[in-house]
Amino acid sequence: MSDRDDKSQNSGFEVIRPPDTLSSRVKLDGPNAVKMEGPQMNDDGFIEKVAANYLEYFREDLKVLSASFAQLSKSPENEEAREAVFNASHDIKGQAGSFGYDLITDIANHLCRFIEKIDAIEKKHLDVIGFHVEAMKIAEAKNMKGNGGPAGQKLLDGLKGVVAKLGAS
Amino acid sequence: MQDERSFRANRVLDILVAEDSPIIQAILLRFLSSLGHRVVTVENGREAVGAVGAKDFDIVLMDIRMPEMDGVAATRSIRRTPTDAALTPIIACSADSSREKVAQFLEAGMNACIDKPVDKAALLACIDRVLGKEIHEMLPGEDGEKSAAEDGAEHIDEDDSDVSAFLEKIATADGD
Repeated sequence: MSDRDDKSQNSGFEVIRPPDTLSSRVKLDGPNAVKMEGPQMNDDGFIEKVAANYLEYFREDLKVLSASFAQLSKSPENEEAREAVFNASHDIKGQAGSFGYDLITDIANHLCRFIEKIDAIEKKHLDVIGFHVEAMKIAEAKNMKGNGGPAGQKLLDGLKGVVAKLGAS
Repeated sequence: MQDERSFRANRVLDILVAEDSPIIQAILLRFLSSLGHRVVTVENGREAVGAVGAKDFDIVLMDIRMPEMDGVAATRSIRRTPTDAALTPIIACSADSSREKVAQFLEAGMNACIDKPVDKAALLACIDRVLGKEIHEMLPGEDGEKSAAEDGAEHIDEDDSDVSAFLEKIATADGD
Protein backbone atom coordinates (compact mmCIF):
# COMPACT_ATOMS: atom_id res chain seq x y z
CA MET A 1 0.00 0.00 0.00
CA SER A 2 1.44 3.38 -0.92
CA ASP A 3 1.56 6.21 1.54
CA ARG A 4 -0.87 8.23 -0.50
CA ASP A 5 -3.30 5.76 -1.97
CA ASP A 6 -6.51 7.36 -0.83
CA LYS A 7 -6.31 10.39 -3.02
CA SER A 8 -9.72 11.50 -4.05
CA GLN A 9 -10.01 12.18 -7.76
CA ASN A 10 -12.70 14.81 -7.58
CA SER A 11 -13.04 16.16 -4.11
CA GLY A 12 -9.72 17.95 -4.00
CA PHE A 13 -8.39 16.30 -0.85
CA GLU A 14 -6.19 13.40 -0.16
CA VAL A 15 -5.63 11.23 2.86
CA ILE A 16 -1.96 11.01 3.64
CA ARG A 17 -1.15 7.90 5.57
CA PRO A 18 2.09 7.85 7.43
CA PRO A 19 4.47 5.10 6.43
CA ASP A 20 3.91 2.02 8.56
CA THR A 21 7.54 1.74 9.55
CA LEU A 22 6.90 -0.42 12.57
CA SER A 23 5.09 -3.26 10.86
CA SER A 24 7.62 -3.20 8.04
CA ARG A 25 10.30 -3.94 10.61
CA VAL A 26 8.43 -6.86 12.10
CA LYS A 27 9.21 -10.08 10.31
CA LEU A 28 7.17 -13.20 10.76
CA ASP A 29 9.68 -15.30 8.85
CA GLY A 30 13.42 -15.42 8.50
CA PRO A 31 16.12 -13.88 10.67
CA ASN A 32 14.98 -11.62 13.50
CA ALA A 33 11.39 -12.75 13.00
CA VAL A 34 8.79 -12.44 15.70
CA LYS A 35 8.83 -15.76 17.44
CA MET A 36 6.23 -18.40 16.85
CA GLU A 37 7.63 -19.84 20.01
CA GLY A 38 9.97 -18.42 22.58
CA PRO A 39 13.38 -20.01 23.00
CA GLN A 40 12.41 -21.70 26.23
CA MET A 41 9.18 -22.89 24.70
CA ASN A 42 11.07 -24.85 22.07
CA ASP A 43 11.85 -27.14 24.94
CA ASP A 44 8.82 -29.43 24.90
CA GLY A 45 9.02 -29.95 28.62
CA PHE A 46 9.17 -26.29 29.59
CA ILE A 47 5.70 -26.04 31.09
CA GLU A 48 6.05 -29.41 32.79
CA LYS A 49 9.35 -28.29 34.32
CA VAL A 50 7.80 -25.10 35.58
CA ALA A 51 4.75 -26.95 36.87
CA ALA A 52 6.86 -29.56 38.61
CA ASN A 53 9.15 -26.98 40.13
CA TYR A 54 6.91 -23.96 40.37
CA LEU A 55 8.01 -23.21 43.92
CA GLU A 56 11.56 -22.75 42.67
CA TYR A 57 10.36 -20.08 40.25
CA PHE A 58 8.22 -18.62 43.00
CA ARG A 59 11.19 -18.42 45.35
CA GLU A 60 12.99 -16.30 42.78
CA ASP A 61 9.96 -14.03 42.52
CA LEU A 62 9.85 -13.87 46.31
CA LYS A 63 13.48 -12.76 46.37
CA VAL A 64 12.64 -9.93 43.97
CA LEU A 65 9.61 -9.00 46.05
CA SER A 66 11.60 -9.10 49.30
CA ALA A 67 14.44 -7.01 47.86
CA SER A 68 11.98 -4.43 46.54
CA PHE A 69 10.21 -4.34 49.88
CA ALA A 70 13.54 -3.83 51.68
CA GLN A 71 14.26 -0.90 49.38
CA LEU A 72 10.80 0.56 49.98
CA SER A 73 11.23 0.18 53.74
CA LYS A 74 14.41 2.27 53.60
CA SER A 75 12.77 5.02 51.56
CA PRO A 76 8.96 4.82 51.64
CA GLU A 77 8.68 7.85 49.36
CA ASN A 78 10.58 6.02 46.61
CA GLU A 79 8.01 5.57 43.85
CA GLU A 80 10.23 3.20 41.92
CA ALA A 81 10.52 0.90 44.91
CA ARG A 82 6.77 1.02 45.42
CA GLU A 83 6.26 0.19 41.76
CA ALA A 84 8.76 -2.67 42.04
CA VAL A 85 6.89 -4.16 44.99
CA PHE A 86 3.62 -3.87 43.09
CA ASN A 87 5.07 -5.37 39.91
CA ALA A 88 6.62 -8.33 41.70
CA SER A 89 3.36 -9.05 43.47
CA HIS A 90 1.42 -8.52 40.26
CA ASP A 91 3.57 -11.10 38.46
CA ILE A 92 3.11 -13.60 41.28
CA LYS A 93 -0.64 -13.06 41.19
CA GLY A 94 -0.74 -13.79 37.47
CA GLN A 95 1.32 -16.97 37.63
CA ALA A 96 0.86 -18.87 40.88
CA GLY A 97 -2.75 -19.86 40.27
CA SER A 98 -1.80 -21.27 36.88
CA PHE A 99 0.23 -23.90 38.68
CA GLY A 100 -2.28 -24.71 41.39
CA TYR A 101 -1.15 -22.21 44.01
CA ASP A 102 -4.38 -20.27 44.28
CA LEU A 103 -3.71 -19.11 47.83
CA ILE A 104 -0.49 -17.41 46.76
CA THR A 105 -2.35 -15.72 43.92
CA ASP A 106 -4.98 -14.55 46.41
CA ILE A 107 -2.38 -13.14 48.81
CA ALA A 108 -0.54 -11.39 45.98
CA ASN A 109 -3.79 -9.97 44.65
CA HIS A 110 -4.71 -8.73 48.12
CA LEU A 111 -1.34 -7.00 48.35
CA CYS A 112 -1.73 -5.35 44.93
CA ARG A 113 -5.15 -4.01 45.80
CA PHE A 114 -3.82 -2.70 49.11
CA ILE A 115 -0.87 -0.89 47.51
CA GLU A 116 -3.18 0.72 44.97
CA LYS A 117 -5.20 2.35 47.73
CA ILE A 118 -2.26 3.92 49.56
CA ASP A 119 -1.56 7.59 48.98
CA ALA A 120 1.66 8.18 50.92
CA ILE A 121 3.32 5.13 52.43
CA GLU A 122 3.60 5.22 56.22
CA LYS A 123 5.04 2.83 58.77
CA LYS A 124 1.73 0.99 59.19
CA HIS A 125 1.53 0.42 55.44
CA LEU A 126 5.01 -1.06 55.42
CA ASP A 127 3.92 -3.39 58.21
CA VAL A 128 0.96 -4.58 56.18
CA ILE A 129 3.06 -5.09 53.05
CA GLY A 130 5.59 -7.01 55.13
CA PHE A 131 2.83 -9.24 56.51
CA HIS A 132 1.81 -10.15 52.99
CA VAL A 133 5.38 -11.01 52.06
CA GLU A 134 5.68 -13.10 55.20
CA ALA A 135 2.41 -14.89 54.46
CA MET A 136 3.66 -15.79 50.99
CA LYS A 137 6.83 -17.18 52.52
CA ILE A 138 4.79 -19.33 54.89
CA ALA A 139 2.64 -20.57 52.01
CA GLU A 140 5.82 -21.45 50.13
CA ALA A 141 7.49 -23.12 53.09
CA LYS A 142 4.43 -25.24 53.74
CA ASN A 143 3.79 -25.89 50.04
CA MET A 144 0.22 -24.68 50.35
CA LYS A 145 -1.42 -25.71 47.11
CA GLY A 146 -4.95 -24.82 46.10
CA ASN A 147 -6.62 -22.58 48.62
CA GLY A 148 -4.18 -23.76 51.28
CA GLY A 149 -6.85 -25.55 53.25
CA PRO A 150 -8.00 -24.20 56.63
CA ALA A 151 -4.53 -22.88 57.50
CA GLY A 152 -4.30 -21.06 54.19
CA GLN A 153 -7.69 -19.49 54.64
CA LYS A 154 -6.70 -18.37 58.13
CA LEU A 155 -3.67 -16.67 56.63
CA LEU A 156 -5.80 -14.87 54.09
CA ASP A 157 -8.45 -13.92 56.63
CA GLY A 158 -5.71 -12.62 58.92
CA LEU A 159 -4.38 -10.38 56.17
CA LYS A 160 -7.87 -9.11 55.41
CA GLY A 161 -8.30 -8.37 59.08
CA VAL A 162 -5.07 -6.42 59.40
CA VAL A 163 -5.89 -4.38 56.31
CA ALA A 164 -9.32 -3.63 57.72
CA LYS A 165 -7.74 -2.58 61.02
CA LEU A 166 -4.81 -0.52 59.79
CA GLY A 167 -6.35 0.57 56.51
CA ALA A 168 -4.73 2.13 53.49
CA SER A 169 -5.42 5.74 54.36
CA MET B 1 -4.74 -23.10 33.99
CA GLN B 2 -3.73 -26.26 35.80
CA ASP B 3 -6.88 -28.24 35.29
CA GLU B 4 -7.91 -31.29 33.38
CA ARG B 5 -10.83 -29.92 31.43
CA SER B 6 -10.77 -30.61 27.70
CA PHE B 7 -12.03 -28.36 24.96
CA ARG B 8 -12.24 -28.32 21.21
CA ALA B 9 -12.55 -25.65 18.56
CA ASN B 10 -14.66 -25.87 15.41
CA ARG B 11 -12.45 -23.49 13.46
CA VAL B 12 -8.83 -22.43 13.48
CA LEU B 13 -8.01 -18.94 14.69
CA ASP B 14 -4.91 -16.86 14.15
CA ILE B 15 -4.13 -15.53 17.61
CA LEU B 16 -1.49 -13.04 18.70
CA VAL B 17 -0.36 -13.38 22.29
CA ALA B 18 1.42 -10.27 23.61
CA GLU B 19 2.90 -11.27 26.95
CA ASP B 20 6.28 -10.61 28.51
CA SER B 21 6.24 -13.50 30.98
CA PRO B 22 7.72 -16.57 29.27
CA ILE B 23 5.76 -18.75 31.65
CA ILE B 24 2.39 -17.25 30.79
CA GLN B 25 3.39 -17.16 27.12
CA ALA B 26 4.15 -20.86 27.23
CA ILE B 27 0.90 -21.69 28.99
CA LEU B 28 -1.21 -19.79 26.46
CA LEU B 29 0.78 -21.07 23.49
CA ARG B 30 0.47 -24.68 24.63
CA PHE B 31 -3.24 -24.45 25.41
CA LEU B 32 -4.34 -22.53 22.33
CA SER B 33 -2.15 -24.56 20.00
CA SER B 34 -3.63 -27.76 21.44
CA LEU B 35 -7.00 -26.56 20.12
CA GLY B 36 -5.52 -26.19 16.65
CA HIS B 37 -5.15 -22.43 16.70
CA ARG B 38 -2.17 -20.75 15.10
CA VAL B 39 -0.44 -18.70 17.75
CA VAL B 40 2.18 -15.99 17.38
CA THR B 41 3.82 -14.63 20.52
CA VAL B 42 5.48 -11.28 21.11
CA GLU B 43 7.04 -9.88 24.26
CA ASN B 44 5.90 -6.27 24.37
CA GLY B 45 3.37 -3.82 23.06
CA ARG B 46 5.64 -2.41 20.41
CA GLU B 47 6.11 -5.84 18.86
CA ALA B 48 2.36 -6.41 19.10
CA VAL B 49 1.65 -3.27 17.10
CA GLY B 50 4.14 -4.36 14.48
CA ALA B 51 2.77 -7.89 14.32
CA VAL B 52 -0.83 -6.72 13.89
CA GLY B 53 0.32 -4.43 11.10
CA ALA B 54 2.20 -7.23 9.38
CA LYS B 55 -0.31 -10.08 9.59
CA ASP B 56 -4.06 -10.57 9.96
CA PHE B 57 -5.07 -11.95 13.33
CA ASP B 58 -8.52 -13.05 14.40
CA ILE B 59 -7.86 -11.88 17.91
CA VAL B 60 -5.13 -10.46 20.15
CA LEU B 61 -4.59 -11.46 23.77
CA MET B 62 -2.87 -8.43 25.24
CA ASP B 63 -1.01 -8.33 28.52
CA ILE B 64 -1.11 -4.91 30.14
CA ARG B 65 2.16 -4.48 31.99
CA MET B 66 4.89 -5.06 29.45
CA PRO B 67 8.26 -3.44 28.82
CA GLU B 68 8.83 -0.83 26.09
CA MET B 69 5.12 -0.31 25.40
CA ASP B 70 2.29 -1.45 27.65
CA GLY B 71 -0.88 -3.10 26.45
CA VAL B 72 -3.02 0.01 26.73
CA ALA B 73 -0.64 2.10 24.63
CA ALA B 74 -0.29 -0.74 22.12
CA THR B 75 -4.08 -0.99 21.81
CA ARG B 76 -4.40 2.75 21.23
CA SER B 77 -1.72 2.50 18.56
CA ILE B 78 -3.43 -0.44 16.85
CA ARG B 79 -6.77 1.37 16.88
CA ARG B 80 -5.13 4.33 15.14
CA THR B 81 -3.71 2.12 12.39
CA PRO B 82 -5.14 3.36 9.06
CA THR B 83 -5.97 -0.14 7.86
CA ASP B 84 -8.39 -2.92 8.76
CA ALA B 85 -5.83 -4.04 11.31
CA ALA B 86 -7.29 -1.31 13.51
CA LEU B 87 -10.42 -3.44 13.86
CA THR B 88 -8.65 -6.52 15.24
CA PRO B 89 -10.44 -7.67 18.41
CA ILE B 90 -8.27 -7.28 21.49
CA ILE B 91 -8.76 -8.98 24.84
CA ALA B 92 -6.85 -7.62 27.81
CA CYS B 93 -5.20 -10.30 29.95
CA SER B 94 -4.50 -8.61 33.22
CA ALA B 95 -3.79 -9.49 36.80
CA ASP B 96 -5.59 -6.27 37.64
CA SER B 97 -9.19 -6.38 36.49
CA SER B 98 -10.61 -3.84 38.90
CA ARG B 99 -13.56 -1.87 37.58
CA GLU B 100 -11.42 1.23 37.07
CA LYS B 101 -8.77 -0.67 35.15
CA VAL B 102 -11.29 -2.46 32.95
CA ALA B 103 -12.87 0.88 32.13
CA GLN B 104 -9.43 2.15 31.15
CA PHE B 105 -8.84 -0.90 28.94
CA LEU B 106 -12.18 -0.50 27.19
CA GLU B 107 -11.62 3.20 26.73
CA ALA B 108 -8.33 2.42 25.01
CA GLY B 109 -10.24 0.27 22.54
CA MET B 110 -9.98 -3.20 23.99
CA ASN B 111 -13.04 -5.39 23.55
CA ALA B 112 -12.93 -7.33 26.80
CA CYS B 113 -10.77 -8.21 29.75
CA ILE B 114 -9.88 -11.53 31.33
CA ASP B 115 -8.31 -11.90 34.72
CA LYS B 116 -5.02 -13.63 35.46
CA PRO B 117 -4.35 -16.35 36.25
CA VAL B 118 -6.23 -17.22 33.11
CA ASP B 119 -9.00 -19.79 33.42
CA LYS B 120 -9.28 -21.92 30.29
CA ALA B 121 -13.06 -21.97 30.08
CA ALA B 122 -13.32 -18.26 30.80
CA LEU B 123 -10.73 -17.43 28.15
CA LEU B 124 -12.47 -19.47 25.46
CA ALA B 125 -15.88 -18.08 26.39
CA CYS B 126 -14.43 -14.59 26.22
CA ILE B 127 -12.94 -15.23 22.77
CA ASP B 128 -16.27 -16.59 21.53
CA ARG B 129 -18.15 -13.65 22.98
CA VAL B 130 -15.82 -11.07 21.45
CA LEU B 131 -15.87 -12.77 18.05
CA GLY B 132 -19.64 -13.31 18.26
CA LYS B 133 -19.31 -16.98 17.33
CA GLU B 134 -19.56 -20.27 19.18
CA ILE B 135 -16.13 -21.64 18.34
CA HIS B 136 -15.21 -23.53 21.47
CA GLU B 137 -16.92 -26.17 23.53
CA MET B 138 -16.01 -28.20 26.57
CA LEU B 139 -15.87 -31.90 25.81
CA PRO B 140 -18.63 -34.03 27.36
CA GLY B 141 -17.88 -35.68 30.66
CA GLU B 142 -15.47 -32.98 31.71
CA ASP B 143 -17.46 -31.03 34.22
CA GLY B 144 -14.54 -28.94 35.33
CA GLU B 145 -14.62 -29.95 38.94
CA LYS B 146 -11.44 -28.99 40.68
CA SER B 147 -9.18 -31.71 41.92
CA ALA B 148 -8.62 -32.32 45.58
CA ALA B 149 -5.15 -30.85 45.17
CA GLU B 150 -6.59 -27.60 43.87
CA ASP B 151 -8.90 -27.43 46.84
CA GLY B 152 -5.95 -27.52 49.17
CA ALA B 153 -6.15 -31.14 50.22
CA GLU B 154 -2.50 -31.59 49.32
CA HIS B 155 -1.56 -29.38 52.21
CA ILE B 156 -0.99 -32.16 54.70
CA ASP B 157 1.40 -30.40 57.05
CA GLU B 158 -0.33 -30.85 60.38
CA ASP B 159 2.04 -28.51 62.17
CA ASP B 160 0.54 -25.10 61.62
CA SER B 161 2.32 -23.51 64.56
CA ASP B 162 4.07 -20.99 62.32
CA VAL B 163 0.70 -20.01 60.86
CA SER B 164 -0.67 -19.57 64.36
CA ALA B 165 2.35 -17.51 65.43
CA PHE B 166 1.98 -15.32 62.36
CA LEU B 167 -1.72 -14.79 63.02
CA GLU B 168 -1.00 -13.78 66.61
CA LYS B 169 1.56 -11.28 65.40
CA ILE B 170 -0.69 -9.59 62.89
CA ALA B 171 -3.61 -9.62 65.32
CA THR B 172 -1.61 -7.41 67.69
CA ALA B 173 -0.22 -5.14 64.98
CA ASP B 174 -1.14 -1.54 65.67
CA GLY B 175 0.89 0.26 63.04
CA ASP B 176 3.11 2.08 65.54
